[in-house]
Amino acid sequence: MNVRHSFPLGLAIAVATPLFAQQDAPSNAELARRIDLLSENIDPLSHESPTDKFSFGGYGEVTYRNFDDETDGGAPSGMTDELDLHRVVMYFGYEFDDTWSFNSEIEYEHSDELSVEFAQIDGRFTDAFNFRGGHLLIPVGFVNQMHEPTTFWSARRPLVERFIIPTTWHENGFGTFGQASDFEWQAYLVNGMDAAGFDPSISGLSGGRQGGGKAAAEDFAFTGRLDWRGVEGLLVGASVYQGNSGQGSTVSDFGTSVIDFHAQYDRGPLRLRFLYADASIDDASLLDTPSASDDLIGWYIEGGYDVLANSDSGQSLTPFIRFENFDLLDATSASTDVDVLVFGVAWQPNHNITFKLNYQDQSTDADTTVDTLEFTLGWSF
Amino acid sequence: MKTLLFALVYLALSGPGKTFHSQEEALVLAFGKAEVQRTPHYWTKVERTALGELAGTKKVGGTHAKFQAKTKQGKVVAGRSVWFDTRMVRSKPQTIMLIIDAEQRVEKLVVCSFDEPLDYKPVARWYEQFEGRQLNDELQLKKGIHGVSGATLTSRATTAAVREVLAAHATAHPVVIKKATARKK
Repeated sequence: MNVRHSFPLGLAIAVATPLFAQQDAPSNAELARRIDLLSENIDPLSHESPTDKFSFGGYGEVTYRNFDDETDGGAPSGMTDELDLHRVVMYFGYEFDDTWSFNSEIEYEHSDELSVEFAQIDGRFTDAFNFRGGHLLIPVGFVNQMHEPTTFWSARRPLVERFIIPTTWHENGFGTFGQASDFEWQAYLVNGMDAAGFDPSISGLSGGRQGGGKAAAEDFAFTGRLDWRGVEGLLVGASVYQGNSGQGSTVSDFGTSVIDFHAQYDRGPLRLRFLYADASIDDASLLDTPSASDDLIGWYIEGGYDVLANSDSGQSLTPFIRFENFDLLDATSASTDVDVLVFGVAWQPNHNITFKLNYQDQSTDADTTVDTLEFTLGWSF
Repeated sequence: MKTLLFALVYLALSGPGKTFHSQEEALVLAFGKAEVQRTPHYWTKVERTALGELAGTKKVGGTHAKFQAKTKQGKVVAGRSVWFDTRMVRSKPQTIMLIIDAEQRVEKLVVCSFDEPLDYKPVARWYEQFEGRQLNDELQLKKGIHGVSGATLTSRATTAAVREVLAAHATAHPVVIKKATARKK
């Protein structure tokens, strides 16, 4: 028998051992009652069935977006309201033994686009030093690695974490992760992005993601993250991505970098979040879809307060507000930055389900943006 | 190169990463080399209901086991006890050991095993916030216990575990509760 797996069973046996050894012999009825109680503990722990090695989970979100008929400048927006099964993600894991395990997430996006978000082998050796390899989530920002709809309040992810940090960003590679004292860290070598897909002035870095399938691997990248949790409720950290995206291009190596600084304060009903992200693509003017700027920059600050935290309802109701600013053409002299004000409320009847309603007010000097009312029903298990 | 080779060999030979302390090892952390007395508690319906009300949930175990040190003469050392709790985080269990002092406070929380991916395991400092806590309204997430981003399910499971163990301890020692209540007044 695997001794380490048998820990909970051992605990149940430890409870059971004195069952017949007490000085005052219990009656048969009392013994029967005790056995019933013990069986509650033992049943789920004692059967080493093959399914014990599997784990399942998932999350998903359906989003309604109602666009203003006009842009901020009064021109027709031309946008069509939509109700979208944005994503359904199934999590699947398998334990080979106490050290090695497999974890994965398969995503259906808009009900017809299939992708693997991650499919990785973890080797657990010590708290401080472990192995991870396969198809990995890039460890930058808040949302890329932790994006279940119950973990953020807005109906959609922050725009800074969609354009500057192109969530959901996943590539093939391997590396190490761990925690020691108040620090957590990750460091991976992954295939680089592919500059052929970049259209930075429109979609930020997102077009350069390869997503794992037959990824070009002429160029590689390093990505890492360091977080500090030295004060109760406070998380302060930084992450970096650095590598070439040319993938054999004769025009340029298209060196690509992303750096972010992030902080979160989570105390009682209050949560505050700040993120700053700075990305660059060398020789962006030489891309297939050229950009006038090598640099992209953005930041946001967000706060929310759970007004039901002091109730015993088990629910949460969190009014929140977020201000974002980003510029996909930061290196140009033109005023091209976008301000985004998002405010709304997130209600969770339990910790698995969330209903999120918010208004997103975007503004630019050119008054070309369209404001949106958004609603999301999300789940996670 | 030698250092790297040494590190790889060390990792290959080091113990599996999911169990940090067996039950025996954890009890040594609590009581040293002293002999240990195991006392099972088989709750009656009334006790179990009371325990659930204290813990703040209807889903509490029907049995709990308490561990106490014994003197060389075989007498149980009263006042300080150890309890274990095993429960699911997402789809895999975490086992913690709690040392409860004579004032019904958490003296120490030790994570014995953690079967979920390590991404869900909070840093040690997060677990330390339970030390010194008693069973009261503040012992809840978003009240006296702060959450941890990236490990929400673990923080919920751990908080529920600590509440249930303290409730079991209080149910097993109702006289101590009366004394503590009287002292407060």
